[in-house]
Amino acid sequence: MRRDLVEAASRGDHEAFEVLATSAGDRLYAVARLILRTADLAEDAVQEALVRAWQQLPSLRDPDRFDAWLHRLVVNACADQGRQLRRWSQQVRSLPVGAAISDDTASVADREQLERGFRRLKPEQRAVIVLHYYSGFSAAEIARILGIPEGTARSRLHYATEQMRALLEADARQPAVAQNGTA
Amino acid sequence: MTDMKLDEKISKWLEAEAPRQLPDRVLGATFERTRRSRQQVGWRALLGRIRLNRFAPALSGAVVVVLVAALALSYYANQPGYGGPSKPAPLPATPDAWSRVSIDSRFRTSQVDTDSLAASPHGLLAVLGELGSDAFQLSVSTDGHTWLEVPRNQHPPLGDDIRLIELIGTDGGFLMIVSNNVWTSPDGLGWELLTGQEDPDLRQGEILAATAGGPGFVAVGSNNTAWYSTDGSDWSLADVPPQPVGSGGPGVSGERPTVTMYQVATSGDVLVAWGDASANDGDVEPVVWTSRDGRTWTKASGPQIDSVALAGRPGGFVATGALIDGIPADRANRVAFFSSDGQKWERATNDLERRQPTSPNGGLTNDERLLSVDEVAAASSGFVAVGSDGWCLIDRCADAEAAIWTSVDGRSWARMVGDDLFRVNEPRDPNASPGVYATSVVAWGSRFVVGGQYDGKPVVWISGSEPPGNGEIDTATAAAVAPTAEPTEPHAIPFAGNWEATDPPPDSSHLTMAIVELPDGAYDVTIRDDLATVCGGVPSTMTGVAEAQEPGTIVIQQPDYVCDDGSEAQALSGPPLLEQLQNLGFTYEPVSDELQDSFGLVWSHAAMGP
Repeated sequence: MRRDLVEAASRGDHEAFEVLATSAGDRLYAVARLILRTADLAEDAVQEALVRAWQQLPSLRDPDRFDAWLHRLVVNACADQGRQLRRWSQQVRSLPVGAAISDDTASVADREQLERGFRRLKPEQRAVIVLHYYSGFSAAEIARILGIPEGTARSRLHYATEQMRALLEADARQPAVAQNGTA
Repeated sequence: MTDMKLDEKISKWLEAEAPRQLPDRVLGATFERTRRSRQQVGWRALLGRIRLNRFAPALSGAVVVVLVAALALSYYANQPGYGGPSKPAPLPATPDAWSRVSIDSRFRTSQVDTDSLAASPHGLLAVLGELGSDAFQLSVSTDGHTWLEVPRNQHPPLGDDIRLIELIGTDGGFLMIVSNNVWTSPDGLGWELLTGQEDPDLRQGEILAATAGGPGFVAVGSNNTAWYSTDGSDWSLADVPPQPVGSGGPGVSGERPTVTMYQVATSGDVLVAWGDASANDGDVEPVVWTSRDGRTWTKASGPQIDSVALAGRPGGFVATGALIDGIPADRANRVAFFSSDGQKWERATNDLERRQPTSPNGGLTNDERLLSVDEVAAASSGFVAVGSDGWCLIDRCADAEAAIWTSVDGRSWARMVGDDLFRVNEPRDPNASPGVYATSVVAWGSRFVVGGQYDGKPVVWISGSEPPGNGEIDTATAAAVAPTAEPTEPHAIPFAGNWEATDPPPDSSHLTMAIVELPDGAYDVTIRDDLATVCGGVPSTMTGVAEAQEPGTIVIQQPDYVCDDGSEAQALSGPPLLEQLQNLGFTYEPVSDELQDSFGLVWSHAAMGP
């Protein structure tokens, strides 16, 4: 059914494209927002990715790769959004901690540590972290999505994860008073 | 913290952080734009249903290319390294040794680069790619300065993954491997399929690198696999070291790591292949093989570097990459190693780039410019490595510049001081294309040709033999050496003529089609239907101009459709009829001598016109 929709959309069926885009929109938005850390940029990235998807759909050779291809477009669109900011790291803002969290196992301190660690990752490392741990793609799939060798994807994922670990452990060793910012 | 606990922690945190819903206004705005936006030509959609080897008989007998042989031979006879004067060109270590040439591309976006290059005595072959899409273009040049796009109906389907396109320059022309299908060409303009995935040995893994060497050609790729061939038409699996069994390194739990080989190079009769063994736990270890004949490979110990580029020439190999020394690969020092035999590797006396940590724990900052070394090539004069200085968010920064290093002996390296040839100095819109960067390099005789992007356009930088006029092309010379390419022989694929088909039930109507070849190589197409349901059962006429796309395929971008009684045709379902008819394609089936359109209807030759 989904393959039929992709084929129909690639032949110019806009209704089919709307069904596909609507069903993928939430996931793509989540990926973009996790990478970019800001809602406005993520919304723009998703819109750009979907417009490109419509325009370039006839060039998609294998309809079964539609989902991976969409992710590639959204990651590229995130890159484009990022390029528009000269000092990207200074303009992103944190999502409000605890805004959507109901998981008892994650303490506020944990979430703050993760947020700090994640924000210190290089953006392409964020992308592989999000694609792997959130979207559930394997390293091989990430390689195809990002157009990099599989070994590079594995390596990037490995180093990003290890850096998160190092940052979390370093953070945990800081005195609580420093973490809370109170004297 | 255990791996599992960390994985779980990150997964749960991301899941909690992720927004649940894309605001409706975003989809609304998107659809407003897409309804007004045209789709690109959809020939690739057709290709998905076509077996590549169908084109072999058509291509092998069809391609007619006229090269001004005498002029070309005269030109090449004067090229250093190709039978001309034996005086080698010096290593191009300064900007004034280079000239930059733009390559015309059919892509209309501002993000097109030269992804891959090959050189032969007959000229240069380049794959251009459009960033953000999976579209490629093939271009050729006999002199490096005048480039000609190879018409899409004259070259093999290029697929949608640059990793699966391998170019090899040979004395007789070029070999191109696309998704394990092997094609040959004397000049890059006409191609013949030699073999492909019907060969069981070529289905054992994906070919990711190939070179001329060993018994003729060798290739390496995924799934711990290597191949060899004497002539490119018959490939055999090579004996390779067994996959390592994880113990303490990759595959801690005993799982066999995945071995993937990404690079292969030759130096005299020695071959070196480079790749990695990676396990699901994320551990990656370099894997190096050497061979004397390309048929049997043995394991060697290589330095701990990642993202390796490899090149060889008589006397030794160079491997460049990111040093794996406990810090993230992207942050690591860029280094070069030299080996005379592929077995023992020595680190160059100086690194290509030594980076200083900018945060207390050696981590990364998001606005930090990073550097890559993407390819290296070797010639008699030395080695040239190329890359990009200025990686930002996932992609190159808007002010990225091409980085070029040179080394006479592979042991001592110097980065060439860039100038305006390799960067854009004027203030630029940050939304503009990602600056300047180099992605590929190939030795061409004693010269080097570097591929990349300059301000959104595909370019090559060429060393030596500066054309007269300080970089300006001497048009007389260019015309003399440019290939005089004739398009594919018009009747090689016999679209022109009268065709007929029968609609499937319930219509079961009789359709006739007249295809007339136009002087510019396009085709005028008229299709008549004696009982058109979309016209309430009266006859209809569809007309349009079809243009050649991939080998054996012509496409009408937007046909006109009229009911013969003057009524308006109505689609029975889905989008408007004209929209459904966009990019109507016809593919020639050489075996059955039939056409198949993009709706699956099969057309046979008809004796009578419509």
